[in-house]
Amino acid sequence: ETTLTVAHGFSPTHVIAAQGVDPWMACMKAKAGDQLGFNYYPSGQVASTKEMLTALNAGIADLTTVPIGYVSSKMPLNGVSMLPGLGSSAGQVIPVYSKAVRQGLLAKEFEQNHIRPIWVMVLPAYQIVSRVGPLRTKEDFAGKVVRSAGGTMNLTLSALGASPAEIPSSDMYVAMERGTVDATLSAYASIKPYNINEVMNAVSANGEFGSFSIAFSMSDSSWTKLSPELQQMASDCGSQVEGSIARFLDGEVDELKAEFSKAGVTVYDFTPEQLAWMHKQLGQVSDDWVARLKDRGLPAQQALDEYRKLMGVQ
Amino acid sequence: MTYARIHGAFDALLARGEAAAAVLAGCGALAAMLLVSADAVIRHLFAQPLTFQLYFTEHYLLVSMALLALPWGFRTGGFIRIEGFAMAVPLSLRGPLLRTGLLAGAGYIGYLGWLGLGKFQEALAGHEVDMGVIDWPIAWSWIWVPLGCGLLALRLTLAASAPTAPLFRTTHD
Amino acid sequence: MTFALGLIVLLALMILGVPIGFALGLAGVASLALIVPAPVILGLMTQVVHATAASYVLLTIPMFVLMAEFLSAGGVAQDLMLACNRMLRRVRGGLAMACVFAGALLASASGSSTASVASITRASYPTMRRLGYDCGFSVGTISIAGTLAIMIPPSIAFVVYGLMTDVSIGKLFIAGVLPGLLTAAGYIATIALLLWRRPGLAPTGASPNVGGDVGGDSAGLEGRGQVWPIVLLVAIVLGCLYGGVATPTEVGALGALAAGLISLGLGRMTGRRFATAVGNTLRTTALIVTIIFGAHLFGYFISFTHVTDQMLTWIAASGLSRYSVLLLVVLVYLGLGMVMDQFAIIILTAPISYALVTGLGFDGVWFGVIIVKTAEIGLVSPPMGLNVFIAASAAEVDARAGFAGVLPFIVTELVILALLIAVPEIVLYLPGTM
Ligand code: NA
Ligand code: NA
Repeated sequence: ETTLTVAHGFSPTHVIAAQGVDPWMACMKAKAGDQLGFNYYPSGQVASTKEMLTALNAGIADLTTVPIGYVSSKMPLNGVSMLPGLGSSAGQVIPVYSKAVRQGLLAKEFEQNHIRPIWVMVLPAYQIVSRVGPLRTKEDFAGKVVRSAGGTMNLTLSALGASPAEIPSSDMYVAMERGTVDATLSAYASIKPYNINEVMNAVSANGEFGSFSIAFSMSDSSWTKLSPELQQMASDCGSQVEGSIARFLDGEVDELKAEFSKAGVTVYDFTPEQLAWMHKQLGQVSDDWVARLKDRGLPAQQALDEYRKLMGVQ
Repeated sequence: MTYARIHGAFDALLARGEAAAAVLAGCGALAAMLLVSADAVIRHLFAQPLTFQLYFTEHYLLVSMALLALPWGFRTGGFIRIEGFAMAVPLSLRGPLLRTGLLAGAGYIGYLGWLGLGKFQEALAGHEVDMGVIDWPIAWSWIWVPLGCGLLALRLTLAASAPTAPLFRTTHD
Repeated sequence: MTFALGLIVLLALMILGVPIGFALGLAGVASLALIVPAPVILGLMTQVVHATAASYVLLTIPMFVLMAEFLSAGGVAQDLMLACNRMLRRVRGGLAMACVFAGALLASASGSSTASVASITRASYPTMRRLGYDCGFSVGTISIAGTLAIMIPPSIAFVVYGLMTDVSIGKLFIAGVLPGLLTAAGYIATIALLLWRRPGLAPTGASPNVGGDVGGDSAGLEGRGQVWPIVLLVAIVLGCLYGGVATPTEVGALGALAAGLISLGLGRMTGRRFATAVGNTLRTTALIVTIIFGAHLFGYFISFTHVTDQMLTWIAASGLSRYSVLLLVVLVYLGLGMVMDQFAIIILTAPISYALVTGLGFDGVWFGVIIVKTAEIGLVSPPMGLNVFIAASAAEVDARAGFAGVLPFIVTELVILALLIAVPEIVLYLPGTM
């Protein structure tokens, strides 16, 4: 019998656990039966969200949800999956990133870190969640303090003309409630878990303000110990989860939009003109990302081009 | 030279290093106080947050403050232990008992520092950076772990090998 | 079984006089060696120190301690104690009750009970000793007064619970108000009751020399006992927090800065006192950080044994009535609270126990208050009662005397816990009005 150790830093009710890790383990159990068992450590019990890659390399777990935003030192090019202006829905982005991690430059980063992606998840793009009404234009964003989780989010907000304030997620609710910040960039999936729905009055619906991506990965050493049958099952279950979590996330966004509207929140789309302006501004973020990685001697432009090609944009 | 004098010389030397580390840690604490306050006030009054503040405070000021305070903090009584049993055993046993405990602590802390040194070297050699407002060098966030743990392990070793009572009572400056 | 073995190793090391932080780490590493391979332990050890220190929320601890130290350097906290004592001078044990009032006042600015207890100790213990208070009683009172910080908002414990369970943090904060006030009232009643039975624990506060006694640190005594500096400080902290200037994590830094400036303005902050304040902050920080990363290592061991899951799964499978299950859950929390770090307990167990308890039809906000109440008790219960250790250490008193002194308050806490379980409306009335 094979026993696999699975760890992540999210609570068991978090969408990545409930719609990603749980279904994948259930799928594996259903296919493999008694020959497979799991040791499951959610909630950062054996490693925090920041330490997922290290946990794989140290053998603390066989499988973890590697958050791409926290491994910019070891897997910088994979950060392309979080850039703004590159897709909006999970159904559009997940298949692209899933292909990207299995070929070319992004796959190489996984190899260099001795891990193997089993399935990937990209949240539907971040939207502007505001307590001061809809933010649509350059004038709206100017002078607004918007909470950022760091990294590319800072650049995105600066490009729009807002002032990014890095505030830890544990303080986000209070910061929004008391007006320490005017708005926050957030995925729809994160709004209710942090109770932001209680304190917001407007949320955008069709922005492409970047995203949060994870690669549920297995260490190479654990992978090579699996029988070919189990390896095949792991990949099959991975594809299955990518499909189901994408449908879930996009469906959830539609449900949440309806729910928030009903609760009196302004759920708004940007006009094509506003989107065009934003696209132009957000181009700076990609340029900056490429330039900074190029300074470190990394082929970021090539990674961006490969990713855009898979997405079907120029 | 007697053992006591050699030990005393090492102790005085280490105490200087600890004091210097503590001064740096104190500067870190005050810098964090001023920086976080400035960020909050400027953000509130002028809508201009110091976006670099959180990462800088978290990865440099807090780590250096906490780690550099360890050895001086320990020497000046910043630890908690249950002394009832040790005080109840005969004097001939008490010394070896407390010395063994301190040596075990030295081994534990020293090893944590050693592992931290490895991580520092790895980050330094790989030019590892975290992409934030700027490219933050990871090595300079880790250097404090071997420094602080290393000094504390030396302090614990000196305390365990002291010619007289090895920190029977917690002391305060 | 492995879990019991690990626990025995931990207790043995602590009884043999190994400092608590090292005992936790050594016991954690030794016990982990029984159940996971060596590289895993090395991986955990490599991360744990840096991860503990590089945590923004940790900032609240040095900043709230620094605030308390600056208040102490300027004699401001002593002024508060003096004023409270003057107000309560006709009451036996007025200074002990003043600790509770000061604890409640500090709690409405501070979210961290360890910082709160350190500051109450420095501000009140020397005076209590000089006035002839029993040292165990004093340390017990101070330790318990410090626990108010996690029940009266703002509270880091509620934030952690809310994050682990998706319960509204705003509602949790509001829900903590009435239980927090009830708890403070319970402490006052306990002090009165204790002194009625054993007057020797504390003299009456009517001594005309009180002012002179307090100035033992050579602070100028003119104008002592004024209340405005602390009121100004609480106003600044609450104003910054509720006015949206700063987040709960940041407000400690603003509070420390304000406390430093107030002490400077009062003309009492000498260079020497400033250095002492910063030094005391560093010492407390070092002590707490060492314990936290030790507790993390022992916590990893507990995670790998799955013991918390097993206990809760067993409870769920036993087919007991909902109140018996709740009682068992509360007992598990009280048991864990005796030996583990309170935040580690909430982080490890809240997702599972929340699912179990709300599944039985109990309210999630109410359960959060119940868990925080058990955490309060855990902070003062032996053998790992962090607040008692901190108060006893700062007061240079044996921890056993502190544990003996806090025992009557634990009885009060259990009564209040029972009351909160029997009458959930005490918790749920205010959130219901939102
Ligand atoms: Na509080
Ligand atoms: Na305890």
